[in-house]
Amino acid sequence: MTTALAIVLRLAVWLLLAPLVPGIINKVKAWVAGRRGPPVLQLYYDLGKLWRKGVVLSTAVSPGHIAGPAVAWVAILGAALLLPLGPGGAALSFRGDALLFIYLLAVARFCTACAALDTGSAFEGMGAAREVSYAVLAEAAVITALLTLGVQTGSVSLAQMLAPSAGAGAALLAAGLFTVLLAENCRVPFDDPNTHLELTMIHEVMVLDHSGPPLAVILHGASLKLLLFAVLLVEAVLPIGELPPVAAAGAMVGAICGVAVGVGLVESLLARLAFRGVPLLLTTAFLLCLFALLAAWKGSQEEAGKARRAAVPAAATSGSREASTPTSATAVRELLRLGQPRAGASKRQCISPVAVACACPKPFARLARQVRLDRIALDVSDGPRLLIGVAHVGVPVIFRPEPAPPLQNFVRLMGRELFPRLNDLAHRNLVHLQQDMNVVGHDDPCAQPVALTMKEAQRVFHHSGHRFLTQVARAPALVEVGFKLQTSLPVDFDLEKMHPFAAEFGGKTINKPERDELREPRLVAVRQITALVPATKARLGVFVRNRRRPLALARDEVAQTGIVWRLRETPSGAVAHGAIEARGGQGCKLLEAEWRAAVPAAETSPKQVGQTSAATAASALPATATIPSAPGVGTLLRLGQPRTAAWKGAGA
Amino acid sequence: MSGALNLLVGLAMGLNLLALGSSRLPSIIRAAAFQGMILGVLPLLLGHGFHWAAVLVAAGTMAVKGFVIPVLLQRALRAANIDREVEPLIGFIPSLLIGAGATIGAVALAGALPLRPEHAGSLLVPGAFATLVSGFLLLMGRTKAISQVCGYLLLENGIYLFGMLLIRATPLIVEAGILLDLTVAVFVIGIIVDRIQREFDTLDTRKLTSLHE
Repeated sequence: MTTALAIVLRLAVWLLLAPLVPGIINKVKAWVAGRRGPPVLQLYYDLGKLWRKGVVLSTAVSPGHIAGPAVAWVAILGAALLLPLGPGGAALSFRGDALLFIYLLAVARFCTACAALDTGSAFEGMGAAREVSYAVLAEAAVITALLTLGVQTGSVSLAQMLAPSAGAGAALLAAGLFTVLLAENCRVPFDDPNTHLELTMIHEVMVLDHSGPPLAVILHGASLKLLLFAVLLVEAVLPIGELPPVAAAGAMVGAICGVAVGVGLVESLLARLAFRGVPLLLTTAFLLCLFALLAAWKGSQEEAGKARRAAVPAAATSGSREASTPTSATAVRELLRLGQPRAGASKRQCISPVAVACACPKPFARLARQVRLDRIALDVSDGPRLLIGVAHVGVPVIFRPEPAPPLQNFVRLMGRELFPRLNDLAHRNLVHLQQDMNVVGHDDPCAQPVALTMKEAQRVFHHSGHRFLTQVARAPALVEVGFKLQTSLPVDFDLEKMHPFAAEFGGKTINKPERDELREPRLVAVRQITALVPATKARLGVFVRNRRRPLALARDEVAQTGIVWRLRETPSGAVAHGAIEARGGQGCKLLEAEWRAAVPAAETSPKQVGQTSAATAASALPATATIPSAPGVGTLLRLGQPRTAAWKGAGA
Repeated sequence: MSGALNLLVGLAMGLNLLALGSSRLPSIIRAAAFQGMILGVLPLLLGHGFHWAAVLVAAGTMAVKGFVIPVLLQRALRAANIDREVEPLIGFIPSLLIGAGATIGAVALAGALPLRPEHAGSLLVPGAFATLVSGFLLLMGRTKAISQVCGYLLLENGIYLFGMLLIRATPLIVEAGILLDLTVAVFVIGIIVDRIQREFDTLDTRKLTSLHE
């Protein structure tokens, strides 16, 4: 009962108030022209007069000629009922009523055009053709405007879409919708509602053959449409739904009157556009709405990004805390829980978010690859049966990838490196030198120091020196797979970074400690993957260096085997990695000693680390610096290499 | 501050479309000039304090792009007595739509690029791309030499916008050199326009297709 009452009340509001709007417009026009003009209620009188008159019908018309205006009127009224009336809300509201709104308007237009075509007059057919061809552009603008509101509010119900303000693109949306209002209601820059004689008129020419009550229905429908678009414009732009009811009602009435006055002013001050100029203006309206959509989309994207940034650090800290105290038992348990590698690959997708988004730049291509970065699935079909994909959170090792290439090709696409099957890996010999694969054999998983060595590629102004990085990490598993991507589109506009040694020529030091390396745009986070392989397989030939025989490693020796690196030429010709370096137990112990020596220094200052490590490196491993890295924390410390020029500067 | 910056860059992007959609030469010139002036303000908004170099760059850019170059172009327009109509090879609506598509594409592309965090939220990079594409469109799609000059100006504005990313690293002398080059180029083109007009009685560059002694 109350629903019916609400519908009837809103119907009455729409029906009774609609003819007021053309009256206001005419009054404004008369005021600008200095006339007294017709009374504001003139359209009511006209409608009453027309209703009492008889109908004159052409002999050529079908019953559709009468039905067209009636259906159009009902369709417009239905669309009006879907629009919320300010604080009163909509008579009907459901999810997706925005679509129905657009279609009802289209039905109304179709019926008017059909009724015009039904007369068989070429004149009216021309008007219908023009109406429809303009509507193509105007409708696109309306749809875009509604899309904007939908993106803005995340809803497809008119009542919720129209409640808040349009946000960033409100001005654009207002301009676009106002232009659409003028076009849809055949107002001045597009059509002249007063003329009945010119060949270029659109709407009036379609209703020339109507008379009596059908004409009254058409006129009332036109005023209803005008009010409808005014309400749409006002509610889209103003935050009607967020005001208190009385203020909202006042604001709405005032704004609709303002729109009417604006239409009147436009009609008085502008001439009608040339026929060819109309599509340009309508395209402009469409573009205005499109840019409002863009602004809304950007806004919602930024909000989502903010939410994500707020969420990721929390996940990252928790992840690193887990990773900092991994025990082999938990890792194995997790491995077993996750089961088979292939099935586990999909399950592991949901293990834990790793702080990628905040630690490294997005990969160039798309989100799908970004996802793949932190969850690398080992593709092992045949081959070692014990091999299971890595489950533990691992030691996130951030490699320093290739530095920015020279200026002329500083933009290039992301390289891709195929992940070799570990079976091939087990039998690899010198022929396969193209993979970057670090393998440590072990048959008794426990925490052990793993040394990673990498040599930096050459840079601009840096032709002779190589830089070695050694990283001590803790890994409780057997096979370490270093996975390296090429720099993903290193668009780095920091000239200091691109010419790191430019300062040398100015006599300054280059040995500046760098902190917060993770925020560098050209660093790519690389996950380290560990997996279990049978020790027998591991002994077969993984550790072959040059022509040496395969190492028959005893149990305790395996733990101390160094990391294997292989030379690899990048497409740009730079050396990406150092040479194979399999160390015996002595080297590993030495590394550990270095690590212990460097850790306290790291806590004091990065510069001192550089000196300490360089001192030890100079004695033990020429051109090698030791990087202490707190396990589990994805930090990368870059240390100075013993380069004479550099150290001169540092010493000074 | 970032809001004001984005507003200005957005305005510049709107001016691109205005230049693409307008059918009169003076309005294209005005759009390019206004865009140049808007971009001139940007160094002041980019922060890093109130530095005299930034003020100098801003003042120089606004003076040259906002006044000197439009005056040169207007004078060439008057001297050569050209019709004010633009003759498009690519129609106004298609160029508008292409320009709008380029703008959206630029925004999407900038979202995919690994930018520095301080540039990620700003419209600088999309604005630069969109202005570049609009400049190219204007260069390709219009037949008159003056409108092609405006396309060239838009192109330069796009590069300038890109240079805003480097504002700290670019020395003042480079900015001054660019402005000087631009002025000289427009000056020379003004003379060439006059010559073309005398030689061919039109500014239609479609006639300039073959070389003669």
